[in-house]
Amino acid sequence: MKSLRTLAFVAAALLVPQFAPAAGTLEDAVAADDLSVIKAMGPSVMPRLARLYAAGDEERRQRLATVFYRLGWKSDEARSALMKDVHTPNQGLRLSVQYALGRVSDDVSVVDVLLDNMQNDGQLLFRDKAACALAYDQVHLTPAQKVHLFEGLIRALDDPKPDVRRISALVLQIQTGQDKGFRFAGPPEARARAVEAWRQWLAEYRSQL
Amino acid sequence: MAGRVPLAALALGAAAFAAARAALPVALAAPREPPAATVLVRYGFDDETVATGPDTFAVFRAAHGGVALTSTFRKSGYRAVEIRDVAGNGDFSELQGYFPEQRAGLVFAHFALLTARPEEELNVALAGPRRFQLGKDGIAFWLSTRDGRFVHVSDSIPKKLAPVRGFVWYVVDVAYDVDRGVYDLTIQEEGRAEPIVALRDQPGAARQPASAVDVFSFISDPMEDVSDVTYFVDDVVITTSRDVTVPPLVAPGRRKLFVDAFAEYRRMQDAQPRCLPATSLEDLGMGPHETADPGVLAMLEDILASATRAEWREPSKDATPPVALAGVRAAAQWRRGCVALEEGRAAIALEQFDGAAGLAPRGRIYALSAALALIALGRNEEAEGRLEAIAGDWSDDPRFAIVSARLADARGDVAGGQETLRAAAQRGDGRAAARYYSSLLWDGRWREAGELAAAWARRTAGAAESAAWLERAGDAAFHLREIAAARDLYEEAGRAAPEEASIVLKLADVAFVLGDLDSERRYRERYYGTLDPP
Repeated sequence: MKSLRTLAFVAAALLVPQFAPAAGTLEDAVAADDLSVIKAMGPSVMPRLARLYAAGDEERRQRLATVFYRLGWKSDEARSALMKDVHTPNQGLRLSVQYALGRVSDDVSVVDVLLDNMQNDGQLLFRDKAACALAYDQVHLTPAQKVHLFEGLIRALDDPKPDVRRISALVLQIQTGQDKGFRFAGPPEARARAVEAWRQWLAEYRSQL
Repeated sequence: MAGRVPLAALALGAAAFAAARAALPVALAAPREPPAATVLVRYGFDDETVATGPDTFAVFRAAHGGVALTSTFRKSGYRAVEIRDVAGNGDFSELQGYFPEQRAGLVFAHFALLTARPEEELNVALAGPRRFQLGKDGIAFWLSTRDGRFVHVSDSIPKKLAPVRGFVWYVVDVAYDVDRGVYDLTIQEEGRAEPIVALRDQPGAARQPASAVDVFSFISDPMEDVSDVTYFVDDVVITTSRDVTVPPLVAPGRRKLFVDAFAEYRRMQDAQPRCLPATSLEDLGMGPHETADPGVLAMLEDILASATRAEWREPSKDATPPVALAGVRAAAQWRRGCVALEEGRAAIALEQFDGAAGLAPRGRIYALSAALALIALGRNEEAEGRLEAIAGDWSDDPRFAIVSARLADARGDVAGGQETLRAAAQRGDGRAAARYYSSLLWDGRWREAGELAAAWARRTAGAAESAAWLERAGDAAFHLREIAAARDLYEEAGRAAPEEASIVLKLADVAFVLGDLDSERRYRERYYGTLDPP
């Protein structure tokens, strides 16, 4: 119910402190998972959150990654901090980091690392969730940066692993609303025709930049 | 009903199309069928009444931004709507309008807009029941301003159009061919004879034929939250080439009272078979041995969570302890079956449920769900056979009674279904009681339904559950035309669950029926917002 969401946001905005928050407030808000307090501090809080992230243990880092995800504010500091954990074997932390990265950054290095995880990570779960992040969480990309994402996804349609082809096609479908007739388990010739259709579409996309 | 659009505005739209076609090569300029032009909605924003609601429009105001009537700039008449947003406020401002769903024919959208800040992003969209996402029944037409230019998203590609100038009115006309999924677009700039954009047969936003439309949106920047836009909208008209009947409004902003709309929705939900919840790990065929690893529980939680990312929930062999793999996969398969069942794909659901039962034969929820899918497929004999086969596993569990009652209903045995549910409700199960209540309500037994709801409201401890039963009792009173009693029950429900939208909106209904128009408006606008300046 969006109007109530708006009201909640207004209420949160009214909580904006008149003075800088006292030391410890941010940590308390993170510990209490109180996003409204963190939001009220505004985007300038991101470097401090990134420092807390860097200093935290895995449990705290996972909690902070979720905070970054929910805030959705761009921050180079947050991206750098999160990137250090983008290959962690800790399942919960890894998934939270993969989801949060696109919400804090429009850097194509994030797209690259997620594409790499999607295609090459040893665990199917991590490949799968990297694709999920590419589908839903790259909210800051410009059209030009999206070309980079689409190129990677179209390339992955030729991956020898069927699950990679499946999730790449799904990301493209979610991003564009189209599938160009690609079936991940279809015969190679049919897949090649669909991939060619995607390439032509990408050329058209690029020509519009 | 909001707004008169002057005939001049409509004439201008027609003239813009004529001019655009005249500029095209003859082969491309073949005229479309003259539109019968049933007006679906029309807003000039000049009338006294610009009531928000589910059949007119809703207003979402971002913090520090706004959506409101203004006389500062207007294309015609004396008022337009101003939409303002500020970057980084974590929200966006939007005017979102609704019209009867169109699944065929030509849909014409006409509107005027003026932006004070051409370099800031704004977005206009025409979308369908899947709302603002690319794909079938999602966004059909999408126009933006980005970096000082008009941009339209066609074939999933943002395509640049003409530059936008500040403080100049633009009149936009879209002729969307629903069946083919293509549109013509003209944009006329104030003071210029020729249109600045005149395009024919553009693929829709996601190149989807037969993609329905039923909503329009004027919004700032819903994704990145970086827009400081202020813009103005006037003369919004949506028409169709088809001869369709548009029912009149029965109350401000709505063609149907909220009580009736929610009742219809609940009836649809009741008619739609859906999985009953698994209440224990044993239901899923998982015992302590399989769930000793906390990672398995987390994985199950993930699988059973909301379906918004359901496509992605694929348990992997690498990440799952071997002892739990079959159980986890069965749960995932069951979840996919549940999603399919809710989407009306009962045959696929049945396959998934049977597959899950094969993987984890001790999971009793799978066989019960399969019976539900068979009922949805109309294969009642088979459903009965399955239920008989598993009756011993379920004893007097109310979920079994609910499925049995659904089977009785499917066979036209309403009384039998009600009796089954009544017995289960008497044993103290709230879900069975809720279905029994619905069954009484659909049967017109409102007094009994109201008494049942009032009794359950008293015996229920939790605020949310109590509010739900009070609301049901209010619904029954409303059907009995005991409006004051309905108001009291809804108010009591509202105190228990102050943010529950359905209760707030039903309070708007009772206020309307009682002639208290101030309260009606106050309640309705809590949900749909208002165009009045704050």
